[in-house]
Formats: sequence, structure tokens, C-alpha cells
Amino acid sequence: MFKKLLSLAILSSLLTVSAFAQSGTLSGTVTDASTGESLPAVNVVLTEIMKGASTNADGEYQITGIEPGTYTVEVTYIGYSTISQEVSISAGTNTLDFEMATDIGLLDEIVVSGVADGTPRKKLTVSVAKVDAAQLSKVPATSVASSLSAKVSGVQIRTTSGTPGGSADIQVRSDNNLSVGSNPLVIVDGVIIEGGLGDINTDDIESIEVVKGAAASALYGSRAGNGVVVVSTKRGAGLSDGDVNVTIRQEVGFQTLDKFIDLAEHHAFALADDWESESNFTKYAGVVYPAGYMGGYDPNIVGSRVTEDNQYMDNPFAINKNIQEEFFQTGTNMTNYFALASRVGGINLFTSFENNQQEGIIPNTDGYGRRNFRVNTDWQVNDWLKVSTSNLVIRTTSNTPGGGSGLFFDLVLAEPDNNLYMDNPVDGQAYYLRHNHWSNEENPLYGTSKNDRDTYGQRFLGNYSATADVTDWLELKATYSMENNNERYTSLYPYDYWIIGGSDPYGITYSEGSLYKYSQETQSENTQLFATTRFQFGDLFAKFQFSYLNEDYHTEWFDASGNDFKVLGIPGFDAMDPADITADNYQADIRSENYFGIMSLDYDDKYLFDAMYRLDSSSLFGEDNRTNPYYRVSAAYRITEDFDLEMFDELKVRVAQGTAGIRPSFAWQYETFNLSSGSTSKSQLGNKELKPSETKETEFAINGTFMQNFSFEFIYAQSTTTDQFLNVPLLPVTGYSSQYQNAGTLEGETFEFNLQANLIRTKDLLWDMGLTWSKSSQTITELDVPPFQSGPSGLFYIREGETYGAIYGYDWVTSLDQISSNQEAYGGTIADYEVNNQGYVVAAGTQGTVDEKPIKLKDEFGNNAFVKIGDGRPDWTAGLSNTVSWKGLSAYVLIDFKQGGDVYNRKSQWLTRDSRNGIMDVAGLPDAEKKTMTYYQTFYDVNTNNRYWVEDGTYIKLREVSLSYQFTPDNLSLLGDQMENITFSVLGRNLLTITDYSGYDPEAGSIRNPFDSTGQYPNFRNIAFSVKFDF
Amino acid sequence: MKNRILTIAIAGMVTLASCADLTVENLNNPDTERALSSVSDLTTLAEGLIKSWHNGIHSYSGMGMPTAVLADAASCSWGNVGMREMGTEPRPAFDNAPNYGYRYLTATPFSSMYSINSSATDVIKAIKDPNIDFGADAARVEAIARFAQGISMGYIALAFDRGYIIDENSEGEALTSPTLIPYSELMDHAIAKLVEAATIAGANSFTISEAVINTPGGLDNAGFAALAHSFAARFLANEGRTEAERAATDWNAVITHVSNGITSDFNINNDQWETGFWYNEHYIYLVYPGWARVDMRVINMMDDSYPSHNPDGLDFPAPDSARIFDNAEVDDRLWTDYTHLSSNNFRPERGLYFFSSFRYTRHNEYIGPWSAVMQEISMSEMHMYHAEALAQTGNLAGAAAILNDPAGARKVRGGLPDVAADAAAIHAAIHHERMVESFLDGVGNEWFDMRGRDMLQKGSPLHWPIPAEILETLGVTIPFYTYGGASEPVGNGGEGTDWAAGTASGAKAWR
Repeated sequence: MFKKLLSLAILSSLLTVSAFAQSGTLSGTVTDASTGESLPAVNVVLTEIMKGASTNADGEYQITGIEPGTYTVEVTYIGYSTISQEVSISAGTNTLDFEMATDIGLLDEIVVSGVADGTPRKKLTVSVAKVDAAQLSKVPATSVASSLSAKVSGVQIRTTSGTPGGSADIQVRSDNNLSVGSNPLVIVDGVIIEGGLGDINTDDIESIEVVKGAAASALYGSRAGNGVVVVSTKRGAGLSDGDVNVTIRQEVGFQTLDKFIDLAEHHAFALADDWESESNFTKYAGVVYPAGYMGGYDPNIVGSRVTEDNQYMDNPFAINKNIQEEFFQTGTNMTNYFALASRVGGINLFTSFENNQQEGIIPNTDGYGRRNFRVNTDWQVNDWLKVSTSNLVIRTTSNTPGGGSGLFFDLVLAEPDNNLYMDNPVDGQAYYLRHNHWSNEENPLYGTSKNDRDTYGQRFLGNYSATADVTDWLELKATYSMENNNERYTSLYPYDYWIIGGSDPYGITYSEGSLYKYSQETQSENTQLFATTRFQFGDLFAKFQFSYLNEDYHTEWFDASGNDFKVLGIPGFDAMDPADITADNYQADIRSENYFGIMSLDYDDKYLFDAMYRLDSSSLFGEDNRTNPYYRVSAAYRITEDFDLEMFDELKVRVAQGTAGIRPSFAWQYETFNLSSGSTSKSQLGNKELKPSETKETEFAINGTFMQNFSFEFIYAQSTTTDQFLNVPLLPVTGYSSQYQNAGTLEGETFEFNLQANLIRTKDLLWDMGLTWSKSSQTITELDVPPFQSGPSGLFYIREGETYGAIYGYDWVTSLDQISSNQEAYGGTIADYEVNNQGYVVAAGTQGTVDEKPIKLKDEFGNNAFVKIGDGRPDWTAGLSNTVSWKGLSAYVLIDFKQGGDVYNRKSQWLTRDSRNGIMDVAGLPDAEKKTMTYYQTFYDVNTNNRYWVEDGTYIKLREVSLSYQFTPDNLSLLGDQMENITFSVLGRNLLTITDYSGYDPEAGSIRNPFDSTGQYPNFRNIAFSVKFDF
Repeated sequence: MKNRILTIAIAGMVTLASCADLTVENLNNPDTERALSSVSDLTTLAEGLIKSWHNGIHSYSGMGMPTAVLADAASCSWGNVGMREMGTEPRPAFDNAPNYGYRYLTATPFSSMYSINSSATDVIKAIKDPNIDFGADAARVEAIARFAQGISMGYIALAFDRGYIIDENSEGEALTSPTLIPYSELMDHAIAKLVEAATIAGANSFTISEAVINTPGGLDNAGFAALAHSFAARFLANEGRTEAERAATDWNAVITHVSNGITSDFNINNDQWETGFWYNEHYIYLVYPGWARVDMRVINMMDDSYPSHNPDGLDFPAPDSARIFDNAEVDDRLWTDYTHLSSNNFRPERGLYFFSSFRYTRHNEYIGPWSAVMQEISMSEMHMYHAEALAQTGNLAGAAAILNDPAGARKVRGGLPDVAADAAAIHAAIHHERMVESFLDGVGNEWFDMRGRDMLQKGSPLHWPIPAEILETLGVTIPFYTYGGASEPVGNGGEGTDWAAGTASGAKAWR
């Protein structure tokens, strides 16, 4: 739009167009400047008359019926620098060929987010990264959520669970919030997303823009303190009149777990003298087994197993199965995708359908499926009015593992001689619940086979807009968007579901069944109005935009649960006694009104200045603080417009400062009484003064291109977030336990670096490389409450002056100096201690005995010292992509790096409790190196948080890999002239992880709280085959 | 055309841009203004107090489980809710650090009891408010609120070394920086509230419905007054931290409360996860298959052919069901209330002394359906307070008569021989009934009894310190004081605390 208006202005001042009787034709060929290859689908447009054409497969174009005269011809193609030049058209045939240069750094690419209006990347004054379809389609991610992994600097993506259909944790730059999440605001085709991104397919995506940092995201105000991700889908807008493009893509693949946790294969229990006489179970000393015993809990077993005096885990089990291998399955995944794009007259249309199935690696579990239907249209009604719609309907089904996440715990705690496939001795059901006589843990297969957990979702995203060019200088736009999210969850345990309990000698009883149903509907409606004006004053081009946004959100859920079926086989509440049924519900409305104005100045294409102001009012703010302001000022200078720097083709410096915020959660402002089963009790003290947290960010950046084949960007950003939300504990005097208050400050610092390079660019061989790198730090600089523990198990300690992400707990003594400097606390003399061969201080002379135990570090008061034992924040993260193409063959690799960042491996700690941890297995070690079961269990320490379980979460991941071959029209002549190309690909997702981390995957827990819990569905590898047809 | 459309559109925009109402009501939870203004809501608040107390005191995160193992009534080597630590021999100190993984064991009961006390106080203030008219229901509502004040503060006084008094008379500094006072003063306050509740109930006719108190059939005003007295008897009898303190109890007051107390078992219809949500979680996890077991000390009390403490070695649990034989000395309840388990799945490396061959199965009907009527205060418990009071006041014959009552549980269910009118035998028999007949009734009774006889193992905490998070909120800096452990921690000692007075000396420890 900007270019159009600019051209109009220039034209009206400079040209007088005369009328000629005969019209002219402009035709020619468009080729790649470096390879000489013809370029298809390039748009060639005479901007003054908006008349144009696209090049055909041979790079040829032709525009007919042109009145003779001088025009500006604009040649645009994604990935190439836009060509804009004057052309004189005479009657008859005019020929003009174009050679397009690669737009390294995509400086001409238009960015629409975080700015007043579509702005070429080279003129941005703030940080907005853009990932386009070309980058996303190499290995289409299973959802938008994970598609940005390693592609944008400063953006961390963590797949927190392998659960098919699960979403991903996204964090832009540093983590700015203490009590609310770090996920950015997400907008898909103008719809502010309230539901997750896991359901949105990637084949439809045209581009994703990431508005980084508060300075850039200030435009989005009180929801944008964590940045903004703006997803735009395809619209068929670039097609020539009459064009119809069809894409069909089919993918089928396999999902496998590529790593098992190291589990002990030996134990320390005393074996019966005749233990080798049994092969189905391990016969322990002092235990009498009933005749015919085959394993599992048996009430007729007399006696208990005891440890051997030496407590070395070097005794064999009678049978040594890999229970993990027995349990996990190879799942399948499938994608069927169809898309049609067309342009007829003033209407362009894009419609698509995707069917996606992901089974996952858990047996007896169907996994996830979705069907997405999309229709996007734009209708240029007349020369001043354009109407656009975007519609996406999503239907999902999800069958998650029965029995719940506890199965992952039960699985690794099973002992190698356990038989998961043993039938229940009481009624013959498959997968005997008590598969291990010596443990309370249950058979992980039982729940998957008997408990159904199904989620059914239906979602609609719609955006409708009308844009009117009121005058040459004024554009008005109105948009209405809505999201409707319906989710229904059912968990059914049948009557004969075994649980532990009752009076049966086997200690199990039928649960008599239970049914839980949950239903939620969330509806959000946003209306936004824009008025945009553009003025040219000599060399100064000015844009102003004013906007009003009204947000209206409503959510409502209810659930019901019932126990004890009276009528069997009917999965309904009517089959239960009403006294056994309970119900609950919740509802919330959120309404907000926001206004902003933004001014953008561009002087002579080289001095760029931007300023904005926004006022947000929301029902989430306490009634005494209902309106909050945000601002931004930013400027850039394009040095190469003034100076001829030999090496640099483009060099720009910029600086920006702005504010954005995060809104409080719904309930925090209200004084509440808990309500349960009709009775009330005091809960939370309300806060009418609660306001959004405020992140103020200042950033400096330099970016440019050099040697025509390289582009780079370096950014430094510093942010300060004040008015954190803190749930301040109150003395239990008034009955209120706590109150949310604005208090505390977090400071963050981020360095980002991007590099793109065209390493080789010849006719047949191309090699593109991209590197993203970033490093963030975040510190709690002010805390108005006593330090507190947060996150899972209170591992993460929030205290003034500390890194946000610091892991605190107990530590172990590793040097004699620690003892001698605090001898009174440890007792004895220094001679009573020694350092063992693992580097831990133990009592002298105890190595290898049951008395060898690590010693907890003490503080000056003699208490166990509570100290920093790790930091979950990575030192840096990076992504490296390489694409090498030779003729039709293309190979692509995306490597994801994370350096540092500790993970607390709680699962490993739990494994030690039951002597299942592989580190405890001392079979085959020389006696001098053997440690006892008790030695390791001292580190277990009843799951207290301690340093032993903090592991380095560094990894190198082969995140995306593809090998493709594209058959071009030359190869496809046999298939007729309709087929443009066929691409066969082998795709790999999460193909390989190189790490020292001992769990399934160092990508555990959330970005904020890297904590490997016992219940995490492991991330898995996916290898798939894809064929794509373009017509 | 263009102008007309644009005019309409702009007019629409202007209208839209100024119409949002940003005041949203929270429809999920009542706020103070609502909850404390209408008679109906206040009555609902009062009627929920007894359930809140019951669930608070029986909560998984409360003191039920750790104190049962501290008392060597139950045994559990699993780490859950501090059971492994509190059962470890020799006893460690209670970890009163703000980062202790099971810090909620003390924090939850402390906060929940004060929350109940606060709501009860709100109700009483409303009753005193001339603008709020409860009409004929005022006496019932006040009786409930007074009762709730009494039972909530009574448990603070039983379990913690100190607390503060908040009631309808508290104002100013008493609310903003309350003074911590010793448990004895707190107990006086609690008893006074219970007496007040009993007095109101005695003087007014009303019914406490089953929905409010969840005892089958509900209670009339006389029954409610009796219940208040029974709680007063329980609190007074169990207040003493040592044998000497217990001996110094006002036992005549105990006799008075028992005499005015319940005349039949006070039972609660526990219906976890069902309509009423009255749950007895600590009980569930102390008897659930695979969780805690009965400490062999209690089994040995019933049949001394079983060891009272597991000797380390390979031969445990050799005593199997074949060894159980009936004779006059064996308590018959071993067969009816307990089930023999022939093997253990506790981790042997944590100490074989955790092993036990018995599980408590008296209320097996609760385990699985999660619904059962169970004793909260039994007549046996009341009889034993009476017997103990008589014995403490020198009436040994009277105490023996109660123990030897042919209709009493000791005879009817236990089939035990008569007890002689001998102080030691009587105290032993009373202790036996507490451990066997009243096993896991209420919360903490076994611990209270053991501390009052100096029988706890050396180093066991006699009461809890003020929870770390409360100390933090009070502005106290670390190290925080605590109780328990073989020796006084280097950093112990908060103002007004006495480590030795809160830690079992082991002088008469059962082992």
C-alpha cells in the first residue's frame, strides 16, 4: 500500500499521461541473477495502473493492453530483492527482461506486526523476526507450536511432553514474570488466540512474525509483555487472475523412542540358595513361595526379602527383561493435506483441508487426530473497498494414556523379572495390577488397557475485515474476530477396574467404576478499528495510525464425576446412585478496551522514527487501577544510504524503548471465599489496586548485508519488569491466607545474533545457511516479600539478587576444607573424614561399606545448608540450518543447540528410592569401586531437593532433517501440462539428541522450570515419508 | 454510495468505541461483602465450619500420619508426609526449615485451624451486630460458631507449642501483630469456647442437622452440648506434654466434661469424593494396602508372642498366622480389627525395624468405596478418660470398675481378663485401650497418650514449632527453632521456646 501511494504521489507530480489510440504490450523473462535460471511465479506489476502478470514455468511474462506512457514496474518474488524501475511503454511490443538478485536477509520482505503498517524489513526500527513458508515447509512441523524451534534468535521453544497433539512452551527473550506464564501473545490471521497452538497445522502458513521484546510489542499493550507471535496463513493473493493452484501432500511416518533410561539390572537382596531353580521370578532368601507361583503379588508368600550384608547391587535377577522395550510401541503418524488457491477477478481464495493422525508410543492408546478446514478470501469489491475473511474449523480427538501419567513412573520402577503381561489371578483380566510383590507400584499396562481418556475438541477461528480507501491519504479498516473453543473430556473406569484396597487377600478390589466428564466452552470476540493516514512532505514520508480494540472473553466449564456403577456397561451418570455424583462449574468474563496511536516517520529512506502511545483498560485490573498506559519510541539510521561502505551493501543501526505488560489472572482482584459442596471458607484477600506488570525494554541493534551473500543482525536488549504479581502470604489472623500484590522487579538482558549466508549459488548447486544465537540473563532485583520457593517441588528459589531460574536445595560435602572450616557442625575431627573415589566426603574408612554415606553440607548454625545447586537458565541457545540443493535433490538439516541450563532429574532420584537406577548397578565393577545401595539412597534423601540430581541440560538436537527430490515440469511431461511438480521427501523430526543428560530427554519440564518429573510422556523420534503434488 | 457507507461505518465505529463495561463480577466465589452480609450466607458459613475442621484435621497434609508413626502406633518407611523421618530410629528433629519438603505437615493444620477460627469469629461478630437478625436461629448458629472456635483452637493447643488468640474481642494490634502465647493459655481459651457452646446449646432448643455435622441422624441441642463437653474432655486430658504435666491435669474437670459428654459413639459418615466431601485421608493412608502398617509394639500389646520391635535379621516376619493362638491373655481384637500379612514390601535397607506383619482392617469397608461411618470420638475413649481421671485422682477401684465393665469394649471385643485395682496395671490397661480400641480414632490421640506417659522414643517432638512460613511472615529470620532430635540443634532457640521441653527425654521410652 505504501508503495502504491508513494508511486501515485510521484506520478501525479511528475507525469502527465497522454492518451494514445493504440495500446502496448510488455513482455520478457525473469531470471536469477547469479544462477541464470528462469524464475516462475514472479509478479511483474505496473504499479500506477495495478496491472500485472506472473511469470510462467519458463520465467516468461506478458502484460497486454497498456496505454503508452511511462510507468513504474515492480518485480517481486519471495527471497529476491524487489526491482522497481521506470519503463516507457510505446504502442506495440515492448520487451524488458529482469535479473533478480537474492534478497539476502530478506530486507525487502514486508513485516506487518508491531508496526503501523506494512514495512519492509530494512526500514524496521524494532525487532520483528519473520519466518516464511519456505522455511516452515522443509519439514512441516506437527503444529505451529513447534514450528519455530531453532529458527528465530531469542525465541526458546520447548516441547514439554511427547504427548501427541501437545503444545509447546514458547519464550521470547528473558522470562519477565514471576507468577504468570512466559508464553507470548499469539495472533493467527488477526485472531488473538486464547486456546493453544498445538491444533493449528503448518502447511497453511504463509509466515510467522515474532515481535520480540516489550519495545516492539508495546503496540499490543497489556497482553504483550512476553512478546507476540503473529501467524499469517496463505490467501492466494499473489496469483494472477484466473490462476488455480492445487497442492496435495501425503505423509506417513513412524514414531519411536530412541533412548531408554539406564536401569539397574542387578539387586542387593539376598538370593535363595536354589535361586537358579526358578526362571520366572527371582527367588529370595528367607522367602517361601506358594506352589506354582509365577510372579506378582501373592498373599501366600511368606517372608520378606532382605539385603545382603554388603548391600552391593550385583546380584542377578532370575530373568532380565528390558521392560521399557517391552512397553513402548512404534506409533504411526499420517498427514493428508489438500489446498486450493485461486484468483478470479477481484477475488482470491485459499481453502485447505488437513487430516492429521499421531498415534504416539504408548500401547493401547490411540493418540491424537485433527481435521482442519480453512477458507480464506479477499474480495476487492471496488477501487476503494476490500473485504477479507479468514476461517478455520478444527476438530480434534485425543486419546491419552489410560491410568494417567503415573504409568511412566510405574514403568521404570518395575523390576526386570516382573511380568507385565501376567493375567490377574483373581478374575483373569489382562495385565495383573500388582505385578511386583515387593512394590506398591502398579502395572503400567493395566491402566492403558482399562481406562479410557478421551478429549474431543471443536474450535473455530474467524476474522472478518473491511478496508476502505476513503481518500488518497486516509484508510479506514474495521475487523471483527472470534474464537470459539469447545472441549469435552471423558475418563471412564469400568466397574471391574482393579484398585488396591478391600478385603480380598490379594489386596485388590473392583473400583466399581467411575466416570468423569468435563466440558468447556470459551468464546472470545474482538473488534478493532483502524484509521491510517499517510503524508508525503518532500523527503519526509509520515504515517499515522489510530486504533481502538475491544476485547470480550467468556469461558465456562462444568464437570461432573460419579463413582460406583449400579448398572454395568452403561457409561453414564444415570447408571449411578445420585448420591455418588458431584458436579462443579466455573465461569469468567474478561472485557478490555484499548486505544493506541502510532506515528512513523521516514526521512529520505534513511532516517526512520517511530513513536506510539497506548491506553489499556481491562476488567482484570483492580477497580482502582483500571487504565494503564504504554509507549514506544524507536529510531533507525541506514548508514549505507549516506556512506559507501565497501563491504556492506546495507547497514542500519537502531534503538528502541517501550513498555508492555501482562494482565493479572481473573480471580486475583477479588476477595474470595472458597466454595465447596455448598459451604464456604475464607480464601484470598482481594486487591482492588492490582494492575498489570510492566516490562520496560531498551534495545540496540545493528543489521545489514555484506558481500552480497551474507546478512547479519546483532541485538542487545535490556528489560526491567516492575509490579510483578506476588501472592503475599498473610498471617492466619483474618482467615485470609494470601493476597496478590504488585511487588518485585525482574531485570533481563538478551544478546541475539543472526547470520544468513548464501554459501553457494550456481545453476545446479545451492547451499544456504542460517544461524541464530541468543543469550539471556534474568535477575530478581527487588522482592518485597520473604524469599519463596516456586515451581515443581519448590525447586526454584525466588530471592532478591538471585538469578531467576536458580535451583536451590541441599548440597553434599565434596572437600575436607568444607568440614574443617565448620568442624563443630560436622563433629569429630578432620581425621574422621575422607574424600571417596566419587569426590564426596564420607566417614574415614567406610568406603565400600554400608556406612559409606555422603554428608550434607551444613551452614554456620549446624543446619543443612540451603544453597544454590543449579540454574535452569541456559548459557545460550542456537539454531543452525543448512539447505543444500543439487538440481532437484535437496537436503536440509536444522540443528538445535542448548548450552548449559540445568535440569533437575527427579525421575532419577525416584528410581534410586526403589534401587532401580542404573548408576546403582555395581555388577562387574572391581570391589574397590563398588558402592552400597544405601550409599546411593542417601542421595535419594526422601526426594529432598539436592545437588546430586542436578544435571547439565546441554544438548545438540537434530531437530529437523529432510531429503527431498523434486520432479519439475521437464520430468513430468508424461503426466500432462497441469502438473507443476512432485516432491518426494524423507522427513526426520527429533532424529537425534546428543547429550550427557541421563533421562529420556534434557528437553524436560517447562522453559522456566526444567524439571524432569516422573510423569512426563517422553519425546520421541519421528521418521516420515512425504509426497507433495503441486498442480 | 461510498460516502453513505463510510458515514454509517464511522458512526458505528464511534458508537462501538465507547461502550464497554469493565466491571465484572466473580461468579465463582462469594466475596467478603456478600458472604458476611446476609443471614443466609452467614448461616451457610457457620454450617460449613465443622466440616472444614474435620477435613482440616484429617487431611493428608496434616499431622495424623507423622504423629501415628512418632507414637509407634503405625509404622511406615515410605517417605510420604514425613513418615519415614518421624519413624526413623533414633528420632531426628522435625525439620522446621522453610524449604522442608513436608513443611505443610505443620503449616496446613496451623493455617486451616486459624481459618476456621476466623470464620467462626466473623459469624459471632455478625450475631452481635444489631443490623443482622438471625431470628430464632441465632442460638444454633452461635453454638456452632463457638464450638468451631473451641475445636480449632483446641487442636492448635494440642499440637503446637504456641499460638495466638483471635476472637470477636480482638482488635488493633492483636490483629496486626498478634502475641504468641503458650499452649496452656490457648487451651484455656479453647475450653472456654467449648463451654460457651455447650451452655448456649443447653439453654436453647435446636437441631444440628446431619448435613451440618454428618453424624447419622444429626444432633439435638443436648447432644451438641454433650459433644462440646466430650471435646473438652479430650483436649484437657491430652494437653500434658509429659507424664508430670499429664498428672497435673485438672482431672476433676475431665470427669465433669465426660459426665456431661456424649452417651454414644460420635461417628462421622466419611464420604470422600461423594456428596458431602467429609474425608478422613490420614486414616486411609495409614491403613491402605501397601502403605502404613500397625507398629509391632501395638501387636505385641495384644499378643506378646509377637516381638514388639523387629530384630534385625533374615527371619522377620517369621511369626505368621500359624503362631496365633487364642488364650485369655491375647486380645481378641487382633483377629477382628487387624489382618496378618505374611511378607513386607518396605525397603529393607531403610531399617528392618519398620517391618510389621499386620495391617489395621477394622474399617476395611472404607477402603475402596471411600464411604463408611467411623468413630470420631468413641464411648471407649470417653470411658478411658474417665478411668484415667479416677486413677489420677486416687480412685483406683473406680477406674478398675470402668475397665472391667462387662459391657465395655475391653471385655466384649477384647475378651481380656479383669484388671486389678493397681495403678500401674490400670494405666497400662488404659494405654492398651487407647492403642487398640481407639486406634486411629480422631487425630493424634496415640501421640498425645504416649507423650503424656513419657513413652515416646527419645528425641521425638512433643509438639510442633510454629511453622516456618508463619515465622517468615512474622519477620523472624533463620535459623528457625524446632523440636526433636537426639541433641539440640546448633542453631535452635527462638524467643520463648525451650527445645528440651518440646523433645522427648526418653526417660520412660518404651524402648
